[in-house]
This record gives sequence, structure tokens and C-alpha cells, in this order.
Amino acid sequence: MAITFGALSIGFILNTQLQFVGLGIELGGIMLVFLGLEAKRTGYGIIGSLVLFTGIGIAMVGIAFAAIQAPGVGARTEVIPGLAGILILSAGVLKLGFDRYARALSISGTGLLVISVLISGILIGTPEWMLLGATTAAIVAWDVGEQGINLAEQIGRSANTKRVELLHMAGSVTVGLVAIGIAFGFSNVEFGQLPTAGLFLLLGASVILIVALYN
Amino acid sequence: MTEHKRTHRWRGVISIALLGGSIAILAERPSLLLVAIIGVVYSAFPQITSPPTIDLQIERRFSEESPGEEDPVEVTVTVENTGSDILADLRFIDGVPPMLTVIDGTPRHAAVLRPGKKTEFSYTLKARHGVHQFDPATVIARDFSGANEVQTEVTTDQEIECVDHVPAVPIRKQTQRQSFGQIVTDQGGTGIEFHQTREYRHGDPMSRIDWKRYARSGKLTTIEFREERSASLVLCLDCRKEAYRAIDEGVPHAIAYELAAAERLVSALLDERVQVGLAAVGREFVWLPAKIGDDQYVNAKSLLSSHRTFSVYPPNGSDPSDSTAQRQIEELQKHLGQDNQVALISPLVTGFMANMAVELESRGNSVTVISPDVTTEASTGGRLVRIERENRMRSLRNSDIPVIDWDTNTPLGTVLMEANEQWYK
Repeated sequence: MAITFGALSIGFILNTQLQFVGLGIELGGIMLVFLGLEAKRTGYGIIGSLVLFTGIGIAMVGIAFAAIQAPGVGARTEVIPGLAGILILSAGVLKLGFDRYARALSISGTGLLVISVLISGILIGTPEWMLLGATTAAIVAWDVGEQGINLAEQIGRSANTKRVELLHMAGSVTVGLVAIGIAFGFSNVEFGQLPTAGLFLLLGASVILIVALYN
Repeated sequence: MTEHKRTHRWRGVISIALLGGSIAILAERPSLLLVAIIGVVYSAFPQITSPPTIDLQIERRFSEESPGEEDPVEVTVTVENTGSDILADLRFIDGVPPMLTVIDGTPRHAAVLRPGKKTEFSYTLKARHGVHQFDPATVIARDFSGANEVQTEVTTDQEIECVDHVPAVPIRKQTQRQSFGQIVTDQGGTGIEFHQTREYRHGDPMSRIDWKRYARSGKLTTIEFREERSASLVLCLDCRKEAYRAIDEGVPHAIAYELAAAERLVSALLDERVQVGLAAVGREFVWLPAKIGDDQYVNAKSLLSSHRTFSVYPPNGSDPSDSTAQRQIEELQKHLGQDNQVALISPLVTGFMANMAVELESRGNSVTVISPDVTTEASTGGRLVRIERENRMRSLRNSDIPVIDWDTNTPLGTVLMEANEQWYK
């Protein structure tokens, strides 16, 4: 689920067909990783490992393909952290490797996704709604992933947790939609002659407010 | 017991607001400022949700009410939200009795519960002899955002009883040999059987004056009968740290066997109308005076299931050493009456309890030792303990103290029956 949202996030900011081909290859690879892990859990150790490593390999090829084939510097720089982010996020969510790194992996994966969105905004000038959608999707991807990780910690893999996860995801998506709505509301506000320094101060103030709220 | 904590899981979202905002201004891209707004909204999300209050009712159903040893028992747990809050993210971890193992399914469950709704899940346990109390279930509830987490425990008074059918008479038969049961004393007093006549003393009841003799000789004499006392037995459990010994990991330790045995014996003896009392040496000294009746069974059972000396978890840290155990023994001797018999239940892995048995016997309290065997052949240390234990049992038998060696794979009832047959040959 988290991976779907991650892919959705990157999907928003991609704009050439070649980038999508790269993404497709990568997702295919991740699918194989997932199957490989399942096979390992159900007792087919060697076949599972084989499938798993093939999957990682294919995912890497996908990233490389997108990086080389994408036209223009902007398209290349946005696609690399984005696709790498998806792979790392998947590694975290699927608990590839050690459990205790799962959180760190999913956070860094999401971070890369967001960076990719920002680069896309700076270099390519992707439309606003796409940027907003991509950011929200990245945050939801992380949220769903983290929720899965902490459920697995407290309840274990074998319990049925689908309903709890779905409800949590629904909550998080709703907040995302509200956030997009608010953001659009702001985009129509005419900032007029407000100097950049003023905006910066405003932002700084709101950040301090947020930090204060947290502690 | 309710704990509330903030998970701070949304903390990282601020960084999106910070990064997006600053880049937007530096690169002069208004579209990225909107990205920052998303970050701001998400970091406000956890502020608008509040920690849920947990108000739950748990009910457990068992596929079998009285399973036999090693029988699978399916436990179906129903959790009902009796509060008024929506529990958006409820995690439930059932308090499986510590001595039982889950063989199928999982005692953990996650659910979304609206007020008044129920959720149900089940898992399978492997039954073992004894009465097994469920531990309090752990409940964790998070709000929609997952920022607030409330953890609490829900206690229920449920237990699985895997009854080991102790035949109705084992202890009594065996102890009758030591004139247990209806004890006949050498003291004169009120009773049925003639004991002696003696000179009349002022205050003797008229009904006991030997009137025929008075008519014959003109002297007042009083008839005395043999006094009878009912039997009373005190079960004394060895709950010291040393007794928390098990054959292997994952199998019950000696205390678990002792508790199961005590529960069965109290019930069987009370059925036989023998006065039963309870004592234990361990974390704290436990004393329940010998009495008869249903109340006594309830008292003994609640003591066995709730007193901290009978905890199935071994003590840690500052443990009572043998010297405090010695003090507890002295206290036991103070409480024990002359006519109290003692059934000592101990794995006999150290010499302490064996010495105590001899000491009590020499004071005049007849002692029987029931010893669950928790020694093993698997290691050198285990073999050593086994030999030591055998030596202890031999020396106890040499001092005329009957010892019942209880191989824990055999039900207690069978062991006691065999012991009876042996002694009555």
C-alpha cells in the first residue's frame, strides 16, 4: 500500500514517457522482491532469495534506465532521488534486511521522494496541483508504511490488521485532501507587493509556532 | 494502570514545511510554498485528535470447559467497546496464562471499534494440568493520526481448568496409617468409647457420673470417654526461588505443579471432610488455618491464584535467602497445632525443605512429602541435582517420612494411587 502511494507520488511529477518506463521497470522489480520475501517466509529459502535479488537487480536497472534515458538535466535530477526513494521505502516497508532499520529506511525513502518533488518544482516548473498531489502521496506513503511497521511490532505479522490500516490510511488521505484544498485557497490569494523578506518572516513565524505546539 | 504517551510520529513532517518554504523563497517558486502548506497541515493533524478513552469488556469462551492434559483448547475472545469513544486503532494482546502455550493462531488482535460494537478472534492453547488464571489483557489504542497512544490493562476473572482427577481418597488412606483421619487420642474427655473412670471432681456433668457404682458403694465417680478429634492437614508449599526450576524452557516449573497439586488436594480433602489448611514459604509467609467447608475451598483457591508468594513468575533482585525462609519456618511452627499434619509439597532440589520435614516430624507433626520431579538427565548439573534429590528422598524415607516421588508426566491422582497401593501391600 505504501509503495502504491510512493509510486503515485512520483507519478505526479514525471512528465516524459521514458521516465514512466523506468518507474514501471522498478515497480516490477519491487514486486519480485515482495514475492521473493513471501517465498522465503513460506519455506522456499533458496528460490526466494534468487527471486529477491533478481527483483533488486531489476529495480536498479529501472532507476538507471530512467536516469540515462530521461531527456534533459532537470528530468534526470528529479527522477533519480524519486525512484531511489521508492526502492528504499519499499525496503523499509517490506522489512528487507534488519527490522530495526525499517523505520530509518522508510523515512529516508520518503525524504528522497519529497526532495524529488522539490527538485521537480525548481527545475521543471511542474504544475502546482501535481506538486501538491505528489507531496501528499509521499506523506501518506510514509504514514501507511510506519503504521504497518508499528502494528507489526505490537501485534505481530500473523494478526489480521487490514481494517485498522485502511481506516488509518483513510484518515491520512482525508487530511491530505484538506491540506491540498487549503493550499489551493492560498494560491489564489494575491500576495501583491509583499516583499520576499516579509514572506520569509511570516514563514519563520509559522514554523516557530509549529515547533512550539510540539513541545 | 492507564498510560498515555505521545508517539511524536508526525514530527518529521515539519521538515517538509521548513524545506519547502525555504526553497520556495530562495528559488522564488510560489508553487513550492504550497508544498510547505501541506507540511504545515499535516503537522497540525495530530493536534486536533485527542487520546481515546478505553472502556472495554472482554469475554472468553473455551471450546472445551474441562480439557484433559495436552488437549487443544480454542479460546474465542470477544471484545466489546462499552465506552463512548470510537477506537480507531485498537490493539489487543490477550493475557495468556503463563504456563500455557499458544499452538495455533495468535492472542493478538487489531480492530476498529465503534461504541457498542464487538470484535471477536480466537486462538488455540495447549492445556496443561492445573487451574490457569488469565493475566490482564494489554490494550493499546491510538487515535486517527496515531499521535496519541493509550495503553491500559483489562482484567478479567477467567480461568481455564484442566482437571487432573485426583481420586477422592488418596491422601487420607495413606495418612490413616499414621492415625490420620479421625484421630483417636489417649486423652479422656467427651466421646463415645469408654476410656476410664476417675474420682468425681466438682463441676463434672451429672450425666457422666457412674450412678450404678454410687448405688453400690456410695462413692461418686465420673466416667471418661476417649476424646476424638477430626483430622486436619496443612499443605505446605515450597515457593522459594530455588523451586522455580523447570526441566526445560517452555515447560512448567515446580511451582506450577505445586499449585495445581495444592488446588486438587484441597478440593479432594475437603470432600472427605478433612480440615485443610494452607501454608507457604517463599517471598512471604502464607498461612491459612485448617478448616472445613466450601468457604475454605474458596479461600484457599483465591489465595493460590492471587497471593504474590504463589506467583508463577520467579522473584528477581533481592530474593529471600534461606535465612528468611528459616524465619518463615519458625513462624509456621508457631502456627501449627499439635494435631496438625503436614503435607509438604516441594521439588526437593535443595536440602532445606528436607531438613524442615525432619524437624517438623520430630516436633510431633506427621509429615508427608509430595515432590514433583523437575530434575533432568540432560546436563551434568541436572544429573547431580537428580542424585542429590534421590539421596534426600532416601534419607527422608529412612526417618519414616513417606515421600511421594511425582513424575510430572503422570497425573497426580495416578501417582497417589500407586503410592497407596505400595504402602498397603
